[in-house]
Amino acid sequence: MSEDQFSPDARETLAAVLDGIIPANDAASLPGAGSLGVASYLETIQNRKPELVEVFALLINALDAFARARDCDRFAALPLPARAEALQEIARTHPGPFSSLLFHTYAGYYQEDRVLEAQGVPARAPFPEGYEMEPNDLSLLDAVRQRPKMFRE
Amino acid sequence: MSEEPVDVLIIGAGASGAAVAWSLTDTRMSIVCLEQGDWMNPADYPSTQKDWELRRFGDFGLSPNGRGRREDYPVNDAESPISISNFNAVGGSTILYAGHFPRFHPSDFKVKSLDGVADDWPIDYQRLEPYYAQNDQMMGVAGLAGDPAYPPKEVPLPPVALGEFGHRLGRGFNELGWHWWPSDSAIATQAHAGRAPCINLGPCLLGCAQGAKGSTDVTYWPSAIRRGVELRTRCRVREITVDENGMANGATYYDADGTERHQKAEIVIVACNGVGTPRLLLNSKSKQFPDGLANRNGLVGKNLMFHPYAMVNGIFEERLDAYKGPMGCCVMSQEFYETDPTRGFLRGYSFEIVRGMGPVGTAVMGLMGEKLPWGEGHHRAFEELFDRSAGMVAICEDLPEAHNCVSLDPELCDSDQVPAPKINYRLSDNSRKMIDHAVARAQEVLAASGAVDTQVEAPLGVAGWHLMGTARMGSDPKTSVVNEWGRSHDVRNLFIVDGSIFVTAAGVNPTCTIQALALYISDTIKKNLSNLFD
Repeated sequence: MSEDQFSPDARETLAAVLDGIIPANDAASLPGAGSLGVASYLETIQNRKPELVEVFALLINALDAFARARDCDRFAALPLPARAEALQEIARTHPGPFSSLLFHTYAGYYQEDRVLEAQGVPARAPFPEGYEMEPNDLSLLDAVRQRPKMFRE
Repeated sequence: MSEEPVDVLIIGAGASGAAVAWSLTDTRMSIVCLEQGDWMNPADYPSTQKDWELRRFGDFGLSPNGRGRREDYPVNDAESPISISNFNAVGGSTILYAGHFPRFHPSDFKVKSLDGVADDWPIDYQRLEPYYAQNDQMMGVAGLAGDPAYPPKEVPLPPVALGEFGHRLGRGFNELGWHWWPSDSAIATQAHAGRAPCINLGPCLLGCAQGAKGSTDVTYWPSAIRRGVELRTRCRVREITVDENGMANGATYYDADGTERHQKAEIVIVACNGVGTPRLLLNSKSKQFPDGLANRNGLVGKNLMFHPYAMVNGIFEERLDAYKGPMGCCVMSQEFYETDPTRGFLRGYSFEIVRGMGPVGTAVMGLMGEKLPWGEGHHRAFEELFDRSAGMVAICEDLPEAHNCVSLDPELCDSDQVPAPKINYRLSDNSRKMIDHAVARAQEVLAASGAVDTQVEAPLGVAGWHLMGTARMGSDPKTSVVNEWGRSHDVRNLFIVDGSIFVTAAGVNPTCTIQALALYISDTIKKNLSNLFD
């Protein structure tokens, strides 16, 4: 396993963290970001941006340490209220790294096909299909057409 | 190492460099263009990937300082509330522009006569009109004839799709009795001159993978090259050189390998934009021009004008389909364009409708704007933001002020160790009052269009994409850098064709006027070839 891939333990922690950041969306029948597999996206990103390896590892270690301080062996084993408390704590104590995690979590989650489809957006890049749009209703301009010239000579 | 001398050396392959190169091919002169950037590959443009919205935070960002591209040069804009946005490639900043293509108005050339501020241009709308028309054809401009805000003109192609949001805003303007009109846009809405038609991809500001947007790499350059222009990419000019008589005789540049070269030329044309041009001239020091080339009166770099922007987003309860269609140029309003002294400021502004973002853009911008929390409440907040937020910008006319300027940074350099430009700029009281007026009117029309809330950013910090005035045009050598046809007062074989020669900024996007000026200057060169240096 290379250092830019998460270990099984780290992946378990991260999945729980991501579910805390973007929880399940029951109305859209969507799981949370962790259950949806956004950790794989984060692996891809830290492959491209090696400086993120340290950032994500720092947060994972800090959250697991938070759990151990409460007699729990890892973050994912904490009850949900304690997980939320841990995330609030880490957001306060590690604002820079946590902001970075949020950014990439949001970015990964909203590229997931299931999420896009739930939003009514085609799960694809804009090109090459593009988008159909309604024809222009230029009759809306009738009143403007009647105006005298507006420019100064 | 010197290359064979050429008749014409053009520096910069963006909006104006492309137009002047193409036009001068009529003369059959030998023409070389040096461009510090490279050709772009449309297959690599962000809209070909699902993560397209994230690229604006990386290699397709607006600011050259954050892109990390070798082709860019850094800009010290710490002393300006508006940061510089540009792009360096074949096509220049037209690669990233929205394609908004409104012309100046007749009154924009007569600011002093009509409103008692700034200066009149030495040319007028009528002089440029045939070049506007020629340029509209070359760039493939879409729009609609009959706009009462302009003198009559033909528009080659039908307007871009207004979409749900454009129609909605049109109804809002109608309710208030205000002017609005489909924007002139350099976007091929039908197949045009070998370009495929627009398919409403959305991210025009990240390059057009379809090739429908009129960036000069797909408009002027293919034709100019077929007609004999040699375009050398990844060639960064350090300085324009002069002979013992003070005439320009070429330029020293670094090629793609970083090797220093010199290109000799009979005529040198600078087309590097309102920041790049003064940077180059100020860096071109010699015994004859110790303060920089064409700068005997000290005006090079002075009178920098942006367009101060106000951005006002509306939040709507209904979906807007606002992530589809050309991003920034479907509808324009010029209700507040011409001067009305009762408003408390002189000159005026245009409104331009800006569509909304896709899911990723909504999410990350919502995060950065503290509108989209993590944890509980995330989905409700996203639902309220996504495809329910879109708005408009006011593009305000700036007025020339000598203290707003481009100079050379004493420390910052590009990758070839050429000094970087430094920007000193502050908003005038007139601009502030104009922005305040525009924000209030934008909120009115958004409310009339159904917005339940608005968000304001004014001035818009990233909006330094219109760079004007730093080598101004005029008849008097004491108060201007170039004459009425773009020739330096000090150096009679040196021409400037970009936005730096603007006398005033108007309240519209400048690209079509920059290109019309380039075509006009080229035509004047052609007509005066026999006595060009007299």
